[in-house]
Amino acid sequence: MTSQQKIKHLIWRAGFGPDFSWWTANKNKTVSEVVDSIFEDSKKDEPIALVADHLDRSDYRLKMANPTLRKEKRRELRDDDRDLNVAWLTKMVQDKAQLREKMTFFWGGHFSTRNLFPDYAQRMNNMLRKNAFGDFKTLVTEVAQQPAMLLFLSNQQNVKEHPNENFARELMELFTIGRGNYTEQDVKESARAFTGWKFDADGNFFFNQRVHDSGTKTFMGKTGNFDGYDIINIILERKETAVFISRKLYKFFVNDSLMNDDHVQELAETFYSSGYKIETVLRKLFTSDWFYDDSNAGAHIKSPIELIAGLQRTFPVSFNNPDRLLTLQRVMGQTLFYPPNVAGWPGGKNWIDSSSLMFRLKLASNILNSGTIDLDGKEDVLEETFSQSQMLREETMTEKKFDTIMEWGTFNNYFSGTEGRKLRDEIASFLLTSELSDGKMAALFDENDVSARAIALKIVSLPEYQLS
Amino acid sequence: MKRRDFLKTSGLATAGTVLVPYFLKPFESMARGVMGGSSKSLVVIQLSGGNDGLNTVIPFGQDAYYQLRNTIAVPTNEVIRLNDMQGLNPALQSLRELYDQGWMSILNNVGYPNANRSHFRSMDIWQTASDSSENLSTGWIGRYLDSDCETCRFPYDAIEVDDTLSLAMKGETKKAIAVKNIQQLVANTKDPFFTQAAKTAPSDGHNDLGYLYKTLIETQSSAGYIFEKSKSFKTNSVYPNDAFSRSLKQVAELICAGIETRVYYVSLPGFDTHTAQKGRQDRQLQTYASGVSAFINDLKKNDRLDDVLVITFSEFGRRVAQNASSGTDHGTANAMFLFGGGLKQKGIVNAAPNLSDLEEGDLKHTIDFKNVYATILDKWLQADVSKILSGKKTEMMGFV
Repeated sequence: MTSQQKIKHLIWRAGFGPDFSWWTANKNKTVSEVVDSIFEDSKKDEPIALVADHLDRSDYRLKMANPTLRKEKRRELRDDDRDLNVAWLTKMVQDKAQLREKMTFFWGGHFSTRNLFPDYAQRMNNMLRKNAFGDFKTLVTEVAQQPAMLLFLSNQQNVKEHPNENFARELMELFTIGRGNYTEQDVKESARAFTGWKFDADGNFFFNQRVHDSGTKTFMGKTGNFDGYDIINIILERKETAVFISRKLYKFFVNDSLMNDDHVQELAETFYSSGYKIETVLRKLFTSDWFYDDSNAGAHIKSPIELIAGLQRTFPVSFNNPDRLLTLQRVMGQTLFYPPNVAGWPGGKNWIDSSSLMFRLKLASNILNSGTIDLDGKEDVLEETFSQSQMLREETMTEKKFDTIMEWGTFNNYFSGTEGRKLRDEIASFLLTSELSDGKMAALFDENDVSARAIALKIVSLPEYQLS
Repeated sequence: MKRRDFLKTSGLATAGTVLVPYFLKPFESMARGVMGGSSKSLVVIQLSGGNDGLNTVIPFGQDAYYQLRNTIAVPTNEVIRLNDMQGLNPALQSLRELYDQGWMSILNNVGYPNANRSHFRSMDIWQTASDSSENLSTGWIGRYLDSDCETCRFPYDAIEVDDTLSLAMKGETKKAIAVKNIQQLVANTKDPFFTQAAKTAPSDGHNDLGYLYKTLIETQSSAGYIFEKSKSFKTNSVYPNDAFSRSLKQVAELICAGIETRVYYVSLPGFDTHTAQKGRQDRQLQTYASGVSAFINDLKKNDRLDDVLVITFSEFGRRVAQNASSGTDHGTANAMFLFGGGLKQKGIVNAAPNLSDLEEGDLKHTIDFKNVYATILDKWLQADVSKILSGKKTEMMGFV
């Protein structure tokens, strides 16, 4: 990769793509300067403060029990849910702290939760943002104490008399050490250790001694009167945990289809010896030569969120109707705050099938031309209390316009003074992470493609645009 | 030469100069291997939302049914009786004839251990054929496509009649094709720019870029093939005019046209009946029954019924006792319906659920749905069950 290609590669992986002013200001810097500035820009931590921190649960119960008020309450929850979704997406597009937002997105898929209450979702999201590249042990511990997680993985029901293994199992299988590194007995014993980890009516964590099993447990070969903190400590003492997280970081940030075990091992060593400092392992990743290897360029299929956010960062385009942003997420299969299950979004080639590819190839040009959405998408079988899918569906049937405003004048000005072959090269270079060969350029463009608009619309319709 | 350089130099397939990889060839030019005479296909019908099985196949012979459902139970005199214990909801009247002809079977009490009562989670479990505590990112039909058997080589080997593809239909390396409006899909894929772009595909189909181009080219080819086939047979049977029946009609026409598709997937939503269940469920059941009846009769008329197996499932049944809003909440086991001319066990296959032996108010399942899948994969689709349901203990059943 050339230095400019490296910087482009970096900003797509460590963020949601370059906006034009960022690109102009940074494309001629050295890679290490840009790495530093990316971390510097992300020091800022601004939480989302959209919904009240504590929704009134008694009000919720009251209204849900009443058939007339129930509808109103559900609409309220749906509106909060939508606004929260758009607020997070907007941060990805506009926030200067790009790496912090990218890591929040990463952890949101890793510590995957779905629930009915927007205040819990917001709280979890802000906690992930706060710890996005801090200390992994703090992160895991705070995750284990979030109402969104305690509710989602039934730890409210995990009591001495009837241990519930749901959280304890996923903690090891998906959040820390991975399959093959623990036994069924370890699951049972750690579930006992997490008995009594609950949250109160205000959504605050508390330890309920009365339902906690304070007996002796044997976990991963150690015996003692363990509680949840001890379990997390023991899991993190195992280097396999550093390997498991590093592997996931590698798949997310470096290459989604080819795993290089040596590189993963390097990351794991760094992560483990730093005492699980997330920033340290990320710096190692973004400063390793192999990160910039040609084989890793364009080796990431943009997730639907990355596709939508990236388009909004690179083009001066805005959505008049925020509901359209949710429709797009639903049709393409990635709705923020609603991962498919506790394992998160599988990613990579999983995003692409015949219909999703055709939709995605046409998406960017449709958005930029304020075109129509020609698919209804599948209803997500959400919990009945949330489900407004019927309503959403009817809405999309009748009104399917993207309803966007694209400032082509601004976009043209990015490239003013450039024309001909050079204009195509510059636009392609700004929009794509991979190079288009001369032959490809010749096959795709003709003498009519003279405006920045015509050129950009072709480039965003290429399969190459689906990659970063 | 580094792989990357190779890709760059060979990236543009200018006519005749680059060896065309296998996936760039149109399917039409590839002969399918010896099929062993099998042309059997499977149609999966998904009832989304959790259909109430106890008001679908009614256990009128058990008093507990009437005791626990005082406002929503179907009165004994309205039940379409199948035997002394069970009968159909009157909204399923049009299935009666299929049942009498021996083209319909009922599997009672199908479920899985540690039932999950969340829609999305339980639907995942059914679609991926996972255990309750396991998260899989591929579906059971998708893994059938992956298993590379004689009957599952092409994207159009499995077609979902919808805009987007269900998890059930996604494999690791192969995925089914989702088609609701075939003209629209063909128009999209035939866009001159995409046609031009497809000609610049890299020769390596394995990295991400190659995979995207491969999918694009396969989609163009499959859509064209399905479109041509769909034009070649138009049924003169009458179907009800609703989206569900139109989907089944599309499937029937493809089957009768002799397309080589093995699996079709069709969904009917609207079964999440927490309140005022009776009218809502009856409407959905009637839509379902009249669509299926038209479909089965159409296949019979065209002499294809013996080669088609239809199965119907829902992500869960509902609780045995009704709730305070004359509806039912999320439950566990449920009845599955099978249709076709090749059923070996006709009618009611196994005992009705026992309403006096419940687990916290829910039915205890007696058939694991994975056994139903295993039987279909092995006996109907001639696929290798061990590759598709790996690590699962399954038992073969006798319905086909």
